[in-house]
Amino acid sequence: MTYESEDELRPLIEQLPRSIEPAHDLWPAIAARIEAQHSRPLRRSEPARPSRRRWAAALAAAAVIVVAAASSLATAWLLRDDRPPAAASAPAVGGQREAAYLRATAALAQELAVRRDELAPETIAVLDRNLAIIDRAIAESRAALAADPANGDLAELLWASYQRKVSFLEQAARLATPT
Amino acid sequence: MRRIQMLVASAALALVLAAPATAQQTARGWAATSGVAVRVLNLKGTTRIIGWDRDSIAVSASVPPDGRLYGGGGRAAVKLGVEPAAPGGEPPAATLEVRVPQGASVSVKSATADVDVRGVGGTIEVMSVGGRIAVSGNPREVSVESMAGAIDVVGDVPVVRVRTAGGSATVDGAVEDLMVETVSGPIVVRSRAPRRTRLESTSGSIAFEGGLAADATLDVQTHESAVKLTLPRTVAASFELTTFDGLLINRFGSAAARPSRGGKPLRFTANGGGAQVTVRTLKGDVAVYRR
Repeated sequence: MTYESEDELRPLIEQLPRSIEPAHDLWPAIAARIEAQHSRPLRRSEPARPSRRRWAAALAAAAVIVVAAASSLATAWLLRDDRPPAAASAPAVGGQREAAYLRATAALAQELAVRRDELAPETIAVLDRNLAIIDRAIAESRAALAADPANGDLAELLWASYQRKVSFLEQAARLATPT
Repeated sequence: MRRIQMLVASAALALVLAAPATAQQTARGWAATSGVAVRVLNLKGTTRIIGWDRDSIAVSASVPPDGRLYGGGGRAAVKLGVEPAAPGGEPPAATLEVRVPQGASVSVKSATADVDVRGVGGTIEVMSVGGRIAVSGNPREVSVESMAGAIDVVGDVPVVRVRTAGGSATVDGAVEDLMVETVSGPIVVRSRAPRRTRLESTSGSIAFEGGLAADATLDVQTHESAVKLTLPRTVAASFELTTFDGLLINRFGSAAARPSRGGKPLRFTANGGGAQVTVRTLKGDVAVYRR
């Protein structure tokens, strides 16, 4: 990532909301359960009553499934009106579509951050290394498109990099989810 | 005599003490339908799934003492795997061999365990964090993804989806509909007459070798890595090759055989056209060769 691009991106990133809640009535209950789990973590050596453990596991599994579904819905919602641009009318950098991608990746990154501790250190290293590669590609594509805003091929390359980041974050979240 | 008794007692004690450290061999089986759906979880170690010509599932496992094999289900769906013997324990590193009906559909999840699926004809889905994934045979559909592990798919498969961030991805066979996506891992595809192929990577090199159906599309996209296409001299296709800051080499034919860069697409048609080949990269080199 170049410093110029970081400077360009920072104001956009700072405008992003800290969290995006899926528009669904189930979310408050799920969030409360997740919060409860995180505020009272079970130590591995801590004995627990079997029935309570089963319920906790069931609730956690249900929460994971619904969170994953909500995440996908949220991503789809965030990107819902952003069709690939026609080559002849490539949008300028910083437009609505880019903002939607930034919102989507920020939401996914936040979701993944919640489960980051569940990943092995070597997995986190792979994750960070590849995210850095994608971020650098986004910054470079963005700079090239800023210099030639009407170029549809450059726009396609930028959107492809954003889409790869979305796919990668979703994949990481899936892999971090216990079965 | 007393000395012999002492020796025997010591040997017995040693055996008892050594036993817990030895992996336990376990076998289980279920009757199943020919198209049974099988879900397998083995996070560490090795998982091998083999299709066989019986309507049953047979599992043989080597499980360390800190783990246990579990499984259950009906004739149409079975879930099995290896889990810690004690709640909250670390996932054990087990060796799992599962024989399933040839028409079965299989879903496997792994963390670092290597996964090998062969001879299974249904749909195959494998997710791994860092283990190597190998799929061979003629399944109906393959969908594999890994964070860092290498992925190899060999066989004639109508639909293949491969996604890995840092691992390599290799596909070899007749695939009609192929999508391969990596971040930094290299992609190698050897395919016979695919109809729809999409290969994407950020910094991993991409090599495609094979023919193209008359109405095929081949879309290749990278950010900074090289793209190499090797096609039969008889292929009928229209080409659109674009690199903004890389070298473009056309060794396919005399038409537009010029090296170029700067983002201006190189377009040409071979043998009357038909298939559509599109390559787009910001910084990578693009080379097209004739086989």
